[in-house]
Amino acid sequence: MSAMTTTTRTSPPGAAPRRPRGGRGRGAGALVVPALALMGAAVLLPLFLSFLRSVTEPSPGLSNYAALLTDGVTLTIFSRTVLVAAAVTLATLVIGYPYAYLMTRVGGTARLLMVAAVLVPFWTSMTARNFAWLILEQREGPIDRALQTIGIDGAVLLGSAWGVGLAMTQVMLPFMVLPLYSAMSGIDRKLLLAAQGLGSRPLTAFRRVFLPLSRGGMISGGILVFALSSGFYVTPAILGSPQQSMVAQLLAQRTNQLLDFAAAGALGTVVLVFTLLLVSLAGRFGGSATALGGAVQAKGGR
Amino acid sequence: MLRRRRAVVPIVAAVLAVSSCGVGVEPDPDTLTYASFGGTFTAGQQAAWQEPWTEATGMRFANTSPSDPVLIRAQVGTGSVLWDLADVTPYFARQYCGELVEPLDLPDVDRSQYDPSLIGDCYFGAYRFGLLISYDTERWPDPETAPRTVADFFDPVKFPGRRGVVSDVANGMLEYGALADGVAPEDLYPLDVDRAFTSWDRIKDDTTFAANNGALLQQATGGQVDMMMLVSARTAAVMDEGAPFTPVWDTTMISFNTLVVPKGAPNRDKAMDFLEFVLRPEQSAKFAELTGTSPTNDAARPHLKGNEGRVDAMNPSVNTGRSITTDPEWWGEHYTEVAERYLGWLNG
Repeated sequence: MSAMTTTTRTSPPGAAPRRPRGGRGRGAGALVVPALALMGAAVLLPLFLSFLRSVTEPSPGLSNYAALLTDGVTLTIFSRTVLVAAAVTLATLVIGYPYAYLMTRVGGTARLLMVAAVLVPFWTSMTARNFAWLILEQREGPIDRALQTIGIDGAVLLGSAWGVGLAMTQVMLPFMVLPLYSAMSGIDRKLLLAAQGLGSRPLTAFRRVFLPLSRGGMISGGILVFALSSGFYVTPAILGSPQQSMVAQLLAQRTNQLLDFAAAGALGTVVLVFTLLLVSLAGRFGGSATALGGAVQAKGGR
Repeated sequence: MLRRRRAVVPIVAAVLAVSSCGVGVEPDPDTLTYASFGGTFTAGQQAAWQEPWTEATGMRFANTSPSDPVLIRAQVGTGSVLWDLADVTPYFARQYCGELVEPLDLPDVDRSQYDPSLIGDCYFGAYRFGLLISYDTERWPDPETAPRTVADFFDPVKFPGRRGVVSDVANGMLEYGALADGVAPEDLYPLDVDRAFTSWDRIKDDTTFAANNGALLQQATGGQVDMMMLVSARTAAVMDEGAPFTPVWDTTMISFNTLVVPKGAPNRDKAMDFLEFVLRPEQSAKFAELTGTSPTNDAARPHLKGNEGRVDAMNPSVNTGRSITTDPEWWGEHYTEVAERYLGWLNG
């Protein structure tokens, strides 16, 4: 459904031209009302109330926001979250880029297998995948044993930011590969041949022609992975530990343990604004339509 | 311009229509909605408390879980209270007495059967459990050289190894820290939080802070910790799984839970009647047997078998040390500030 709304906003497929000025567009406009109403009631209204609470409780003002800066916890956790999210984004890009590139170069069957290899874990339950990582990362688990055989003792990943980052990289990989692939498959390879025909070496042709053309895919994949990672709850909750909390866990602690809805609302608002800023910033560089288009395409696979 | 403004009207109307859905569910006067923790707890409360009460009065029950205080706050805050009963900690009840939970009104309970420290305006201990310190006997096979005191848990030099604790600051973990730092048991409250953290500082890097009881149970059965602080029923479950843990009987912190009636509960009075029934000796004993906890009623005589008997901190022939009950009054006063400090300490 979200794919539908986005397509109508950016580029209507085929038939329907951009909405005419006359009365004919009104019928189409009315079709959006239920969706907007649902969004308004289920998302925007609660979001607004949560924001309102964050600036009115316990007293009107910005005290909840000031506390975020001074409580000594939020900043630590926030920067840890941003760091892990950035590392995961980078790791998925480094792994996903060659993979997506290969997908554009192989034959039909191989491509199908490669798509399946991305999508099957994507369709597997999130919890199941995280518990699989728990077994891999625990003390005396396969990773710990492997490290022991090469002489590294006691490097248990479970409960550390490293362990969370590793598992999140695997969980987030489809969100990077799919937009990358969709961007790359649209690149005309004749351009590379043309560059080589004009005397460029293959590597240079790739770097100066292909790489810039795939930028949209990198940015949309990057935004998607970064935004999802910075708000991710499941993996940090299962594989992390309370002393290596991420923002989503802090939010949960503020609401569930301290029952401090106002402070949680303030934290949530900051995370939301931060993510929106990032998306708009990335939109400047990559063109928001490409970025969000890729995002919607990738999410459609869920 | 004009057209756009007109489009706003149906959207706003629809938003209001959708958001007003779900308000005004009629409460059923013959059904008590009961929030607890699921699993053996729900099964235990059904068999020991609900079924006999249904038989006697015809009152039915709708069980739900988890019994999170945050859900009570959300229900009371939005004026749509659905729960009649909730199984919570006494310090939550104390902290939000009259605000989120109804003051208890239980004239027919025989208070002489209860330790006065189990009773407050908004709480009345329904069952209790120890926070047990236990260790892996394969790691320390010889009882003579194994951990034997609370202080041993906080001594990473004498007893190197991975510690596990549930990350819940009010479960008794801070009290153990204070005791290990030399606070006398009789002077435990008001709790010296600084001294408690001094002890925890020593083993912070050696400790896995588990998100909840189930997570620590899983860590223990998977051989991820060598020593731990876990509630008694779950410690018994770890032992049932074949993990070689045995309790340390030095000083044991005892906690209890209470049933509360959320503020504005649809069937407040009927919930109170049910509470009086639950607190009778037979009901108290039966629930303890079914869940591996200890009764709060001194006249109750449960028979805990197997590993559940081996972790029964209230049984003097099992617990050769002493026990102290956590103080809900102190925690009710100080929970928020201590929890904030703990959060900072943990992530610092």
